[in-house]
Amino acid sequence: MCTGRISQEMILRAFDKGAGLVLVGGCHPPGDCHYINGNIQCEEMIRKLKEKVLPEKGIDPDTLRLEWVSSAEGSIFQKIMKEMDEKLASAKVVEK
Amino acid sequence: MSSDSDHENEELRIGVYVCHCGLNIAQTVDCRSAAEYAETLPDVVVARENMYSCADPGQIQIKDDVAEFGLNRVVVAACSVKMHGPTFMNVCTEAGLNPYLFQMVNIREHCSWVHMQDKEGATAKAKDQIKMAVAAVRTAKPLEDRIVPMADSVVVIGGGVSGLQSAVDIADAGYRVHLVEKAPYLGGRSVQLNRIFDRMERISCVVTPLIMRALNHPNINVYTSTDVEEITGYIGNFKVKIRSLGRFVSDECDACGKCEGVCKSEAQDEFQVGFGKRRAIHLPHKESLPYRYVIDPLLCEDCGACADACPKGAIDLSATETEETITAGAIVLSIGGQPYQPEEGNRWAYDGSNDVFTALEMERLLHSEGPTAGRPLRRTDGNLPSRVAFIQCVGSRDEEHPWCSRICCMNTIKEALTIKARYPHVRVSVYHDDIRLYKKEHEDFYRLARDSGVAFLRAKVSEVRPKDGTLEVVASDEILDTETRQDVDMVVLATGTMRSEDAQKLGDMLKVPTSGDGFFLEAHPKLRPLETAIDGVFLAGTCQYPKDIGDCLLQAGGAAAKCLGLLSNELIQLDAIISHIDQDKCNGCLVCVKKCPFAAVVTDEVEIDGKKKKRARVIEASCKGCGVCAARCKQGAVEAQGFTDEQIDDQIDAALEEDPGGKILAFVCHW
Repeated sequence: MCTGRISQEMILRAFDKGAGLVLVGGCHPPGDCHYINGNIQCEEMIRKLKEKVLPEKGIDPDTLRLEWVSSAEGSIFQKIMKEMDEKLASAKVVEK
Repeated sequence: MSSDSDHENEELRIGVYVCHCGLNIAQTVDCRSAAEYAETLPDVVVARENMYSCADPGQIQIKDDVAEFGLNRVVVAACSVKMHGPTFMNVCTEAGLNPYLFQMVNIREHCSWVHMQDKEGATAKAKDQIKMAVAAVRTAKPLEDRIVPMADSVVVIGGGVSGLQSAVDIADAGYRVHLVEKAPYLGGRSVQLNRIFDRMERISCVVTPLIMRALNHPNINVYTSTDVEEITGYIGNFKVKIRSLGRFVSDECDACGKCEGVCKSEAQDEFQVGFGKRRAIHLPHKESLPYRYVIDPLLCEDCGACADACPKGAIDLSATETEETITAGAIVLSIGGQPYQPEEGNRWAYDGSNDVFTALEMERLLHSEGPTAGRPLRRTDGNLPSRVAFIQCVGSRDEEHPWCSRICCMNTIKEALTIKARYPHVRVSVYHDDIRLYKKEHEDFYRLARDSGVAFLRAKVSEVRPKDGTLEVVASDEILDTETRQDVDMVVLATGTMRSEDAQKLGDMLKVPTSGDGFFLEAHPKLRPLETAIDGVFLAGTCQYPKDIGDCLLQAGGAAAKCLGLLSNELIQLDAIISHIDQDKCNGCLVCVKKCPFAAVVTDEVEIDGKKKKRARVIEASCKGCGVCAARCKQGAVEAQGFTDEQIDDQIDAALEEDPGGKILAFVCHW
């Protein structure tokens, strides 16, 4: 399955169920996608979500993150997860 | 096999197996607790922990449980589905269960290995992962692998060393090979070289025998001066349309050369990389195979003088282009690469008119059939240089071309040694970042060059300045930590290897992905290095990344073996993870047809209530299972089998059932 498989409805469902943060991770554009351009099609969908749909629903677009990480870039994936984890932790502190 | 509706009414009986993987998982995740938790999940009738689920006892346990508990779904929580998915699918099949009624969840790489410092957290995450897998397996449907017929022939695109080797290997096994080469001769880039490192064989001692085997092979159809126009179809049944420009010279030609003497049209000789001219009718090079003249139709003025001069009557100027469509079960892509050509205003002062040369130009200068009969003479005054500097990594390992071209270090050592052997008095220096030698024999070759007096300088060249008939090489020496200047009589640029100019065109035709640098991308760098993302399309040689001749032949043999593995079957099996369109739900918007990256969704005209309507349909053999169509369809008409909307939604719900605000939910590509 490719990031191109992910629909807008799936992301919205995750937020609807209360997800703290959502990450979409795929292969580097333009050339690394094993399905030619599934990643670019996903990028388009995410852009629309961030620019229009999420703000309209009152969801902070920054809680959705799109990153390109190849399977050989473990350290980059780790860095992203750490950043997101810290963001989630600090958001919790603010709530309290 | 029971029908879909039987499965829908069937009571779910799920078995969950939590693997310790020795200590790999168990030292971080409490596997007992995870298995106990799994047993509480809906419809789970048995959950167990195993020391090694993939080993025989683990496999037998699953099979026994299917029989004893009447399991109709299986979940394995262990390592990567890419590693052991096929193992457990096979276990399911052997247990009499459809292999797609199975889910695997990775609690090793995705959990225990990355949370070693947090056993409690890791166990909680593993439980969530198992819950998600159970959610996904509940609505899993039994699927049938696709069966497609296999044509018993292969098209090899590119007749360089790699294509030749693949073609000969496949043909030797008794299958038909169509070898398509754009140039009028076989051998590709290799036949322009003087010698091959590191044993210094003449190129004709290595490549000519291979070319002769291909030309004389009863199972190989060789097409020279031929381009690929269009490729359609899919594994087992590709249709490759080729267009042959024609040679205008028949097999009767014995290369006497009388035609060339009367031809008046001239152009730069591309084989000699711009040194000298050739006529419209010409022998591509002195050892050209096929050993026949050819007419360049773009240059020919149709005067007919050559036809009159030919004693054999071998020339037919009225010959026209021919088109043919070939059926092939598999395709080998072996289109090679091309040398980097320094752009105008480059810092090495290369302009094709002074005494700065590219590596390929030096090959021609050192070749006995080259423009100077093997003497590396200066372009400006025709004299032999007494000081030669080689500059490494020109068009490699820079910002624009970040890859190492792999062959240039050894090629430079070879050219330096050739110069030293013929003219021991010539001072040769090599400016380099690193000398990169990949094979065990290469180190000896490097040592030989140093012992022969070639100076290797670890220095970055910032500029080459033409100066009163000489060239000043300005560099920053890494060891001395200072700027150095040296006057030389000749500079040779170790130009890197780029993707072929045809890579884009063929990549688009076949939908084979390329990496960011433009080279064709293998399906997996470790597990599937010969395959592409397109089933039935294999890679051989430099079109994947720069390789020396030995590595090209090695890969070409591998690609041939992969083709033979396919061709030895009359029918082949493809997995069932593809899209299916319910035409009753489809409203004919055709967004899936437009968005499919593989042109695998087509439009049908169907009659509904007496009216003609457009409906989308997936060509099963062409579908790669990316799921783009399913994500875009607003009608819910597309089912991405194995990754249905329902399965993904259920996993989202399962993951976020408890403490959703404290979680990050990631959707990641499985590559």
